Amino acid sequence: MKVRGTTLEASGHETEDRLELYALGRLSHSDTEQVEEHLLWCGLCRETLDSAAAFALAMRDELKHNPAPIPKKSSQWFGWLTTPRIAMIGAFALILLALSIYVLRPGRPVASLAALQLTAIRGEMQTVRPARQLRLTVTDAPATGAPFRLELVNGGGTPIWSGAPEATPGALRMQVNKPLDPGNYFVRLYASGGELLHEYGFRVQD
Amino acid sequence: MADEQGLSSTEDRSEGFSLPDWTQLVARIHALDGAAMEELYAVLEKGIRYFLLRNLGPDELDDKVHDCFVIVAQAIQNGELREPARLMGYVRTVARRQIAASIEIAVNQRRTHADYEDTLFTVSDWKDDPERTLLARQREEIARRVLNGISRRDREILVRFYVKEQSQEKICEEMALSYNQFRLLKSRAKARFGELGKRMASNSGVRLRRSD
Repeated sequence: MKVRGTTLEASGHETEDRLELYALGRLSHSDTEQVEEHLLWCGLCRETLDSAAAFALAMRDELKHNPAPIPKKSSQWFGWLTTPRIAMIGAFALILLALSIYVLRPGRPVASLAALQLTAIRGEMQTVRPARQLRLTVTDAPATGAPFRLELVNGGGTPIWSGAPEATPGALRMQVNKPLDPGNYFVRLYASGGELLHEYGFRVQD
Repeated sequence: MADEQGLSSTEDRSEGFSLPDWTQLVARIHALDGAAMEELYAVLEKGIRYFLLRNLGPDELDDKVHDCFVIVAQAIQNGELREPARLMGYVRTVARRQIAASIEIAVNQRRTHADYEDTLFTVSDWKDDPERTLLARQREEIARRVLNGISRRDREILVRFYVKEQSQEKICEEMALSYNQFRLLKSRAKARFGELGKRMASNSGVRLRRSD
């Protein structure tokens, strides 16, 4: 048997490496001759060549067209972020969107303090904007009956605040130190004996 | 004798074989031994067919195989082979001449019958065979999937080998790889290629390897 160094397997067949190089047309002229002479009578090496050629040629063609990896589809959704100009526009749009959501959200920020002067006048209820603190002033308290007591109830009659108002000349003041939900409220003025003197209504806006 | 039948596809590549004694076979054919002629035909028929098919395509393949065999057999019978041990070298030369002649004929036909160019078979038509094109596309798709599953570094190794045509030694040296690492990468990719190919073939009913 004609031995050709490492070009033949121990079994006497052509090596897969050499068959692959033959398929790729990268063998020298003399090596090509040797391989082809072997292939003429060795069916097993012909099969190996078919397999090696299918793999090698497909790899070569694909790698020629796409030498760098093709980004996966899942990451392509965010691929635009890698383009600086588009990324900046996108970031700006996101900030605008966040601001819009913040400003337009249902529970938008309330004022720190709101004040309302209550008078016992029939007609449309007074309104006040939501605030963290609400200062109420009763200007038409009767001259007698002090010390007075004020009570704040919601539209359903549930007491929210109750206490002695701050008495100033010509007015009684009270301050509710918690935000009130939108809705109707009533302030009741009681005389020292517990007699209900007046009821003032107002509405906290939505 | 280790002829085509003796080296059938069921044989394991790891199993050794002894090189056929071409000198003895040539001597028997020269002595007009009919059985020896049949042995030669059994050995060469598939090999020459394969060789011609790869280079020329399927057109008039049987005739061309027969022509090659007749030329070889007559040369042996006429005692024209100076080195009987180099029988396969001679067969290859005959097949190569047949290929060259066929290409020349195809080229001449193209020149002579330019008006009927579309209907004539030429060597290049074989490369445009729709089945071959489909197979090539499928293989490229499989290769793409295989390559998408490997690291950038492994891809670079394959680019160097298959596209830049760098030698294995150079790649191993420049990328600090051992010979085994290089082989392992290729064998894994090839195994994956084969696995995906089988799956695709079973789904579409298309062969990925041409065995004719």
